[in-house]
Amino acid sequence: MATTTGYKKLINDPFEAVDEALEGFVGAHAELVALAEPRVVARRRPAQNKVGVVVGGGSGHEPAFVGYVGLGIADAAACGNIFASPPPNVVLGAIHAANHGRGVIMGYGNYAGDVMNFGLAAQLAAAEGIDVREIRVSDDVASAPASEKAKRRGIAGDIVVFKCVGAAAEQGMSLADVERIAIKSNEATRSMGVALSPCEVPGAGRPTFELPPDQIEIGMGVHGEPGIKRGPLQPADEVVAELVGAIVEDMGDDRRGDVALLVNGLGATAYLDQYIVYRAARRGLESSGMRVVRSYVGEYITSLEMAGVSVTVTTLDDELTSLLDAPSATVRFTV
Amino acid sequence: MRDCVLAATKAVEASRDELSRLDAAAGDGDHGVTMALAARAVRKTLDDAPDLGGEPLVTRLALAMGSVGGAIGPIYATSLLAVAARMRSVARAGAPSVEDMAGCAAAAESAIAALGGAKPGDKTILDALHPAVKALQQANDAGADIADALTAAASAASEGAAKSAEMVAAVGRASRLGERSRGLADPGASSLALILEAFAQAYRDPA
Repeated sequence: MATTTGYKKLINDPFEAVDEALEGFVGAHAELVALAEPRVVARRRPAQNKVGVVVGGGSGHEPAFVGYVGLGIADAAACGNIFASPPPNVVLGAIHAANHGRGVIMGYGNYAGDVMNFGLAAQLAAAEGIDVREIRVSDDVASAPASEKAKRRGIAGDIVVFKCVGAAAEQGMSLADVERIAIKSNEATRSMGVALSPCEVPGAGRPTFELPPDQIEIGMGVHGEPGIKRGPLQPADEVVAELVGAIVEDMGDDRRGDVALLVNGLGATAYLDQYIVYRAARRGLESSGMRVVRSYVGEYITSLEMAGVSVTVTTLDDELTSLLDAPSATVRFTV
Repeated sequence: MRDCVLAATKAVEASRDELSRLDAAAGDGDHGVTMALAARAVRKTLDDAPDLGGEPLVTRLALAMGSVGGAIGPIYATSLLAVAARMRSVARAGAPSVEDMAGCAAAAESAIAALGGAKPGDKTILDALHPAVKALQQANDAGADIADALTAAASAASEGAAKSAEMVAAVGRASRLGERSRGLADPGASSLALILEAFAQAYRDPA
């Protein structure tokens, strides 16, 4: 099939892109992961006697979500079509791959499609006698006010929450305790992004949004959902000041002490830029009285070839810090 | 019914770019591609079960639509399962009546409203489905035949989808835009209108 795309993509049939990429992923990382069934990536060596952890969502966010399957984070990832939640049967397959008899927790970004499909899968699993809990990550401060935290989208905060949840499960915590960690880490995590240029869903034939060459969009979502403000491209320090300013304002009583800072590249932004963003974000947080004690910079959850970054700040206590530091061996996050 | 379903899959595939454009404005731009994948799954269902019709086919189509995931997968799956349940409850020999079709459409509307918590006016698929349900009921009251009833339902759905452009999204991904969601038609309403138009045309002018 011909691809009518304004973007140069190294793909074949756009409808086969997800499965071909997954085949490549499990082939490249066969020591860590295997395809348990179509669209379900699981640990090569299943864990035992722990709470199962399932992550997932639409494809097109690589290395999310498959890059977090392995020791210390997820047991299985459920993969959907590009920017579309996996259907219930795929999520149920991931639950089966992750279930070791102590219950399963599912982590995913808070989007209507994911909520419906993961929710249906949880009901199917419950009918089989599997105790399933869910954490809908909602870290994007641009997507709803602080008073409506539960309505917020999940963006790069996914990674911080998944790491804490995965570590808690790996340490043998009960399902109730893992769920407590999930809620706590999500509550402590805030993000905001900026887009510089759009991405294009393979087969869509057009970019997901239009952005003039000299314009950027603050608060844009990880799928190109419109943000809160469009304006001229400014130096990195000024753009980051807006992102960090919005996060810090949202933090309220969390605006103190130690934080983790994650700078996430959206797919087409150079690591050079990402480290300049990190520098500015760190300075901004420190000038607001916080100490950046854990740092992560790189592509953790992308939007195909979108250019831009997001900044994620997590308020830490000893428990969350130790969970972030706990050993993990996954394709994208190894401690 | 099989020919009508097939016509709908072709209409969806032909409109892939337009549906993606509508979705890009407020959402994540995947609707055209996801619906094209759904059309592909539906056609495979038709090919795999060449003799299937009626309620068993609708049930299989629900699973095919659900298999694409996203938000639209569960929405079509749950509504088609409601249609199948309604067909079972009124099972009788012979072709369906306009009254049967109005009942099935109303069941689909209730199922979607229950799933997503939306109501007409929220800029969702219901803004095409609700007028279609009303049109079918009016057609039944007026004693219209199936072809006229389907045509009226499709027209009502298209008008509803067009009107959704002036609405502000209240649920789903686009709701985070508030006022900025005004201006373009809802992609889910638009694709349903396309499907109903193709359905009505295929019924009226069999290939």
